Amino acid sequence: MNSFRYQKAGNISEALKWSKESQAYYLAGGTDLLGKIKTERIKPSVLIDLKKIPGLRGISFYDDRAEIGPLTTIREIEISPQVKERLPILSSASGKLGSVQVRNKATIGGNICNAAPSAETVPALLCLDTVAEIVGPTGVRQIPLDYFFIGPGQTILQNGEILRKLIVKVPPTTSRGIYHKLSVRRAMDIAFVGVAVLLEVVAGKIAHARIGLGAVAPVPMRVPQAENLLAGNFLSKELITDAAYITAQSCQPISDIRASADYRRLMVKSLIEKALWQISTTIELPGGEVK
Amino acid sequence: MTNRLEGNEKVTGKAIFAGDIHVEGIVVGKILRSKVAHARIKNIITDRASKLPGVLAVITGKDFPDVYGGRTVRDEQAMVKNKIRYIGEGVAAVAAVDEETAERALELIEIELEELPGVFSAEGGLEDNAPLIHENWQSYWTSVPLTRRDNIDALVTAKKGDIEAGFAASDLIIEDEFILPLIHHAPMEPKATVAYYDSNRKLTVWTGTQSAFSVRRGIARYLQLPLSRVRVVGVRVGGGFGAKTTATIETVAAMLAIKSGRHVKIEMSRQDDFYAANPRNSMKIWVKTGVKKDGRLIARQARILVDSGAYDIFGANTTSQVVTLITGPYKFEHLDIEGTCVYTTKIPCGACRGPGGPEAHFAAETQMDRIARELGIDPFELRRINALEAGDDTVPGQVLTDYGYTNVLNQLEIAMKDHLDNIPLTPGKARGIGIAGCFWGMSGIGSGATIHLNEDGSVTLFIGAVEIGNGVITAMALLVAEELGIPVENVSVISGDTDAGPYEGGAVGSRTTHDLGVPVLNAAREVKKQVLSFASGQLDVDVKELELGDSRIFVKNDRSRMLKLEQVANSRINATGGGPIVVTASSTPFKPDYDKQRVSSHSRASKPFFVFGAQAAAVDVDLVTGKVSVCKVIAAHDVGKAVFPKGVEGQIQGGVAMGLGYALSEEAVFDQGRMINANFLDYRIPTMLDVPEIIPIIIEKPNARVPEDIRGIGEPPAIPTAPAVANAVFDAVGVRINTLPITPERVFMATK
Repeated sequence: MNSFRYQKAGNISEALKWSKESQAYYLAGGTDLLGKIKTERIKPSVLIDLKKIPGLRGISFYDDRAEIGPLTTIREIEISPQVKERLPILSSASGKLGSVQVRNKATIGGNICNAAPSAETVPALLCLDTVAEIVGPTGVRQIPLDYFFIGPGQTILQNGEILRKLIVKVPPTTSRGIYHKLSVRRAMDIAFVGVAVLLEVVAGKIAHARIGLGAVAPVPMRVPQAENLLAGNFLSKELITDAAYITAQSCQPISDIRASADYRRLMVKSLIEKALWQISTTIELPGGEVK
Repeated sequence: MTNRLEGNEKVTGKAIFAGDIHVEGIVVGKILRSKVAHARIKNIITDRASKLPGVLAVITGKDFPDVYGGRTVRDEQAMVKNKIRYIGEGVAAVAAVDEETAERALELIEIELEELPGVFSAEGGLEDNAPLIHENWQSYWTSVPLTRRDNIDALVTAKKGDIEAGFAASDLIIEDEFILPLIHHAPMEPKATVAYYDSNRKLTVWTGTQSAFSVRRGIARYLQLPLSRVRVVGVRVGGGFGAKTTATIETVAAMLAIKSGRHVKIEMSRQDDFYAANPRNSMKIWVKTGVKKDGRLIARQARILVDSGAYDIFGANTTSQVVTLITGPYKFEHLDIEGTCVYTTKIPCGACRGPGGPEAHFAAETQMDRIARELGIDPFELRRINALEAGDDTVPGQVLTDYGYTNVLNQLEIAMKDHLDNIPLTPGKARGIGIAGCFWGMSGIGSGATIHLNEDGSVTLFIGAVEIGNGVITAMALLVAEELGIPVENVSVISGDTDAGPYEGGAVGSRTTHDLGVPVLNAAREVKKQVLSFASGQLDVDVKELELGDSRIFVKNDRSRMLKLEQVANSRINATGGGPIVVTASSTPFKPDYDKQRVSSHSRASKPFFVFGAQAAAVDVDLVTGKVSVCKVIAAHDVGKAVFPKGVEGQIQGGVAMGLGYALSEEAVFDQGRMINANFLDYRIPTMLDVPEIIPIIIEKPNARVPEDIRGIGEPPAIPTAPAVANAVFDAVGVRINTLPITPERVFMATK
């Protein structure tokens, strides 16, 4: 392991200035970064610690949205009573990342900017129509998270840009969301398939649908074709089968040491079906009856 | 119940492991590991590395005497001189003032190589035109006569009866092929060591090892030093499991210490450990079995193909053990077994918690389950019908004196009713329950022990064994305390130092508690004898009238007449007392006979003792994903006599956890000889959350004698877990997974 400098940024402009050095890396929770340094996948000249920059950590709720600071730890999101109540799918997905020890250090911004195709929180955030607010040398821009990832480990961030805020849409209380992670171990493992489904149901009918996938394409992805199929319809056996089929057709899994592409695709289908069935059992039909 | 004597220092983080050693002037040793699998070394240029400021020594194979080492086959050198045989093999090493300088120096070493075609599977090694990995194989010394040829490290065979007649007499013939992965010990602490060569030309090595004496022997051989000039001190160890039995980095650290005149510390990284520890061999096992309708096993034929990697390390032994254990704990009239251990240009494999045991039993015990299903016989009943008992013989023809398998099965069956019948079912998951049994031959190596009776009646026990977490110092202290009637706190144990304790064979082969227990107890009995004899004179009563207890010697029928142990100890020191009581005892292991006509090239044909065990696993199989979760494991193991019961429970818990990793998640994956999942993310040992409740059932022999009936428990609990889980998976979803690990994908694809 090579030596490197460590610098604590006091504010965003300081961080942006230092980031111009070649082989400068931003440090948040460090749970991905330090592993990469130790195994020499990266050789930084300087680590710029963002954790002391004010205003980058915490969760605030507004009427229809939540704003999450990128340095909020995964554990804080997982156990926040408000997130549990209003963004349960995000709380649940957060609770499946790494281990308690990792979640205490890892941040949501780090999980996103590390840009692993399997990033645990991202399928849920995609379902929540999350917008990333980015600050850079030329100003501030807002980008839907759908367009944030461009390849494994690659994002649209450039010229030292920093993810400053996540704006998450709070779904109505009639929504139901589920995140399924498939991995071998119960902790300290990454998903070889991650599936998030969020449906807003009004009088038994799907008003709004979102499907987010992890680890089955070069980047975490949404599945608009399946979302469009679901929206405006009642959840039937046939619809569930079709939506799952379309989702499985839309993803682009690879075979690697964790799983084969065939198995991954089959699991996308099965887990989407499972999630939709689980949601269907909790839907209130007109007249207040639970299906 | 007694707790571990070294427990406090471990749970408070005060225990000293090799990596914790810091002394004035200590420097860092680093090993340059090969990135190619097979190559001839043309030249290694170290000038630039040597000249780097802060570098104190640079060594290559040329710095070592031209000797070969190895336990069964001497085919390995301390550091390669002419040829590289696997990715991760050490080709040079440096000592430098700090880690960064050492790494920089490694980068400056230039190696000129002629790359050679690699051999990446045992089958590949057997091909006619396969590259020869050891050109000089014919010149290698072997500890027993072995059938060796070209890339075949050892061809081990066993024959009994007439296999074809056996199959002809059978009502049912079953064949299976099993594929078993290379797995790592993955101890919490990768290997670490510190070496120092002092001005009196004595070499001292502090190291995390399972066997200080084995490390001493290895270093002395590779450096051609007399044993008297090598001292090895076993410090605390973060897990061994077979990975820390011999001299590896210790020899390199020693040479760097000699060249640099400094204390040199080498710590392996996790990746080094994955590339160069000596893990469990991968294997293919084909088994064909003939059985009568009533369940009697008649004939078994087996072909075992073992990938040894670049060196033998333990390959011939592991292969021999599979040949012995492939029957499972059952008797057969007809046998035809062949084990072929093949050199490849991959990481050399060694011993891993019961070498050969988990592999052989996965084949034997899952096929047993299949036979039970096909014949419609209860799996316990089928096992009882065929159980090996005292008087029966093993594959090599050793007649067993130990018995108890039937009792183990009976105890497990009772426990299952209490513990497995009422686990709630989970929606969307299929429940299955499976059982598997095992037998295991303990190793036997002679050992010694010394006891001093101190002036206050306490004692000091000197043993050569290293406390590697196996509980040896607690177990030995308990034996002494009980024999002498003193509290266990009054036994100080000096352990693991080759210059302070008598020879000890090491924490290998589940042998220590028995093999070391014998001399420890014999020494304690001799101390007792001398104490009583002295007290008899003082109290003027016959020795037979005396007994020990509460650190005193009592007259049995008049307990008011007594002497304190302290008084005896002090009186003995006085002018007329005869001198302090110091007793050393030693033992040699049993070497039972076997049938030499039946086996050839077998390096482990007889064992001092056999032990039996059986486990039951309850699993849930997710019907959507194929993922197996284990709900509970019951592990019943016969230990003869449990000297340190909490230690026995710990061994059972840990062994089962390791067995679960083998069953469900662990596999080293290679691409052209390079391990591509050399990290704990993709090489998956179970986490605490993956290990279910494990219920240990300790079975002792009725009226067990100490030390005669003490049996080992280090390895057996890791043996039957994988087949029990596989049998449970079949019970749940009706598919046989004969390839480990049983991943969600393998189960799902099989059920599809």
